[in-house]
Amino acid sequence: MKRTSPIAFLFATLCAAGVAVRAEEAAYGPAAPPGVQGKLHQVSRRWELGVTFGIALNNSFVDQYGGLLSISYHPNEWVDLGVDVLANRNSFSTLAGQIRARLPSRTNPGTGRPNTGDEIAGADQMQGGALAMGRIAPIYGKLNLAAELPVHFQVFLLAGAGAASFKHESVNLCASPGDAPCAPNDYQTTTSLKPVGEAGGGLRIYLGQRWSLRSEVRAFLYPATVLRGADLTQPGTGTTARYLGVITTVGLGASALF
Amino acid sequence: MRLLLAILLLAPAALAQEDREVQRVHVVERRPFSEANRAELTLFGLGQVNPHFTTHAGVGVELSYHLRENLAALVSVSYNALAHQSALTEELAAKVDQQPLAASALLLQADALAGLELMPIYGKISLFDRTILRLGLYVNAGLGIAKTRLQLRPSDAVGGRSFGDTGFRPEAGLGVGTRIFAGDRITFRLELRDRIYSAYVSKVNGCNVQDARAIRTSGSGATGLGPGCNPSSFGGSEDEIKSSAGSAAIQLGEPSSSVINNLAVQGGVSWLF
Repeated sequence: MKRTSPIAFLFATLCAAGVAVRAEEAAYGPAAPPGVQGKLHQVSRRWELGVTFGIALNNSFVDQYGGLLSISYHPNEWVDLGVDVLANRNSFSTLAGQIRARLPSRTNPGTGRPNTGDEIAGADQMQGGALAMGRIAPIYGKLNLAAELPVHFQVFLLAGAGAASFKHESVNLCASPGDAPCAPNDYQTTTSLKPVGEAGGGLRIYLGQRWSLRSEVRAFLYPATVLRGADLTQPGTGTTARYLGVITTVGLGASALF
Repeated sequence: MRLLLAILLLAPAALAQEDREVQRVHVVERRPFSEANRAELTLFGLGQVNPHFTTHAGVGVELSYHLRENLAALVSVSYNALAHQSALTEELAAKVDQQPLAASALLLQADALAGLELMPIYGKISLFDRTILRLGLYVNAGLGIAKTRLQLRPSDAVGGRSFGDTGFRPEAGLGVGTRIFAGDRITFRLELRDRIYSAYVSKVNGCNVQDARAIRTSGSGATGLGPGCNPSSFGGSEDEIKSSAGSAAIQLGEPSSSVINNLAVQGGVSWLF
């Protein structure tokens, strides 16, 4: 009987081992039972860093464009907790300019006595802030685009609280005393740090195990004030009235999981 | 021995070939039911999401017939129980004596649309990895008619808000939304619909600007009015008639036209039958 050479024996062993390994893969591959598809994109115990660019939706007097940087940790598939840091660029809208151009007289032309008036609300400019944020993502889904391209997505709700810096420039109250029309950039202006709450929701579309696109809507709520019954010729007059300010933003961004 | 070696060499190749075959096979899951050739009745609640000068909220009904799984013909009607100028508009009038042009603040009281709906995207969602629901993303488009009105007096006026009829306008509707199937009969829908209508305002309650000025001056005793213009349509009392006609005269005095995009989110529940 002819003996098998060592080289042929080693080669045969490796080939047999290859078959066995592949057989093991086939036998123990998918952990889930047939018919139940697990989440393709797992986020548990991972950090997420995201950037979102957004614009304000509901602010008629202020054009707000900004960015939001968020970092959060996912303890499980449904929840993540983290911090949002935001910065905005604000400017007055065309509507605000039109209103300023046609403001009523500061004094009664007939009597010369000062007119009184209320400040127009909704002109707060949120410049920047930081918030602690929690997000819950109860819905995970999959769509097929053009029948061949699967898109995995997650729907989330979020809430948070923190503080933000606000610039309040009045639309209709002048900063200088007198009865002349307000000069450009001469309107009563204050800056302050205020508590802010946020609530929102959005959609995350997975591009892979690391990257995803996010689209979201957030409402920022804060204590706002306006002046009532102000003497239009004397800055600093009038009584302060409080109301709940709301700035709603829509944003689009991307995030990475680590 | 040669035979053994040949078998062992071919075995991985055969497995690799099998993998390539598997990669080419798509798992096609049969849908548990189909919407094709079925009708769908939907009740909506809707609210405007771009309330600059106006605020709208109301209800709607839509009847669709699914010609295919992903194509449906639809007719819908909606009624805005809440259709008035926004707080911003009233605030501007009260604080700085300014108001938007009539065309920019034209209110949508009700509308009717007929069109088509295409649902090209189909998918599944799971809630907390437990309940699995099917969903579809759709777009729709339609043409129809809008009933419009103009606010004449603000909410803080004596007698509250009053409105003037500005007639019917052609309208187009464009929508994008999602339909979540809770079973073979019940679905939940969430849609963003843009109702686009022309807003040329030349008459209020059938009265042009000259008529409105005459009524502002003479009240119910105004004479020489155009056909279809009735002073009593502006209010019940003489004061209401004069003040509402005065507001109409101001708004009609500066002719304006616009194309208004009334963007509303509408959510509802459907019954497939």
